[in-house]
Amino acid sequence: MKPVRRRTLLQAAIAAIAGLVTLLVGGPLLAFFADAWRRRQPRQWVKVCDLAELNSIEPTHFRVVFKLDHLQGGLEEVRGVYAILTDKGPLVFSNVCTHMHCSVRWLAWRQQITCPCHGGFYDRWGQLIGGPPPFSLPVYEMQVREGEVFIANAYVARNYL
Amino acid sequence: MAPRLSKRAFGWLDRRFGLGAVLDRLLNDPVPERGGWWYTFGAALFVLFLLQALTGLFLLFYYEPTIERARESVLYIQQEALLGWAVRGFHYWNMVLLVALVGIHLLRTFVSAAYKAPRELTWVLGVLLLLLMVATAYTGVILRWDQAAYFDLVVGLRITELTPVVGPWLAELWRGGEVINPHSLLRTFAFHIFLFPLTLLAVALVHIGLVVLLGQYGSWINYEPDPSGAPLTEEQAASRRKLEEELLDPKSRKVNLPARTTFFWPFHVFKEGVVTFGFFLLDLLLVLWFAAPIEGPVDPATTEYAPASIWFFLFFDQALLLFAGTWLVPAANVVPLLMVLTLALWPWLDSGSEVRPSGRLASLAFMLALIGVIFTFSFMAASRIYNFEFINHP
Repeated sequence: MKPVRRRTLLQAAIAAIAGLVTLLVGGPLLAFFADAWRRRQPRQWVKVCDLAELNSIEPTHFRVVFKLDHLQGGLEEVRGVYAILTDKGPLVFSNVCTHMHCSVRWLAWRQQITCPCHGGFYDRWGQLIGGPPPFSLPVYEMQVREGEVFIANAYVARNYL
Repeated sequence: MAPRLSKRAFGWLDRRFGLGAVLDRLLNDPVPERGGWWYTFGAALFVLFLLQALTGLFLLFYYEPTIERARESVLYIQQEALLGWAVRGFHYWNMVLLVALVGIHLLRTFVSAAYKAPRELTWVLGVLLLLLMVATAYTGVILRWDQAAYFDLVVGLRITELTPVVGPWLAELWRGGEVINPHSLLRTFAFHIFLFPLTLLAVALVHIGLVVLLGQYGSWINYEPDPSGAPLTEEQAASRRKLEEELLDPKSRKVNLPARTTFFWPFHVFKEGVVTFGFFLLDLLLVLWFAAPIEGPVDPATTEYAPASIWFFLFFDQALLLFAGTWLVPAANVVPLLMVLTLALWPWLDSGSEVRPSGRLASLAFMLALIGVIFTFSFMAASRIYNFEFINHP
């Protein structure tokens, strides 16, 4: 067997120490940075509106506020939703376009929901009509309690890409 | 009489780390003389980048990177702080010039075929610098935290999220959560003021170091007989002798001998200084004429605001429309990635020894097509945004 030269041994030792320090510093830093991966927004129900505020002709726009307590106390998240009455009760869907996540809006003169960014079109129930979006607007989990409409921060069918 | 103080200081430094040799290598560097005005954009970029870092540092004395205070603090800078409009205006308009200048610099070196061996790495790092410059500019826009900034972030996160396989995890890292939250702004802030510009500076120094090591290439005109036929001046002859010596030195990495060279200092630095000063003056005019933009406070649930892409992403914004539905995934990431890779690998796609444009028609056609697409798409996007404004508010 060839004897290990002193130079080779020292080089290996330096590489080992450098690698160890990189792991000891880099690992915790990356884990610290990736803390968001393990935090999940707790499931919560918030009121959207009274059932009486809705009609079956045009979707109505509401702002709902969810808590972000899993990140820091007191933080809130504002979401826009549209709600409309159907044969099966109220339907509450997101105002976030499934294309580039811009905020869609109901255009009464077109009787359609449009996205101002790239021209996605949806009908009054949030179903995709045309344009670049891949899917219809996602529908929120919904409950009616004593004439009030509530949604959870979760979609019935997560038809996001 | 004692020698002048500057001479003594120089001697002191020279004895400690050989300042004289360093300066001789950097300043008495032979560079191509003909067409020298075209070879000044890199220097202008470096100086304007330093000015950008300087104005950025001063903005930090007022800016507050929280979602409650960010826009308010920008408004304070713009309207209340003494000369705040000028500092912020310079930081904004200088960003515009920097992004444009990166494009001009890339175009010049491409037409000159300055990416050919042994300068491939210089080119690849240049493409990386282009990406870092755009990333720094884009993250800077988000710090305003107005409606435009918010939707710029939303779309950027969406495109990140569409990256195959790792997209959702990457987006969550950037956002600091499942949804946009105060950490999203803080992380973008850290990217903008530290991660991206520092990486940019480091890569830029290697990029410049490579230019110094390999020598300025210039372009094909520097390797044809000088049409003026004028005899070399004393300085030009001296610079040529120095370059010839370097070419014989096995330690030198230089390979090219332009027909007419001159010393970097002060002959080329003068040209670089004039061009840089020109861009600086343009900066000042823009600052005086146009205020840096700021829009209304963030409302994620808006039914009124029509987002528009930042100007240097307009062509990309338009390109998204080419791929509808589930084709979005290749459109949003893979196609741009392939385009950047093609650009970065161009030295190997055009690896022949031909440097004249007439012999590199395929290269020129590629670049012309790229520019054509960028300008046409940008124009289409701008007119589309104008029309959507009309649809929203008929």
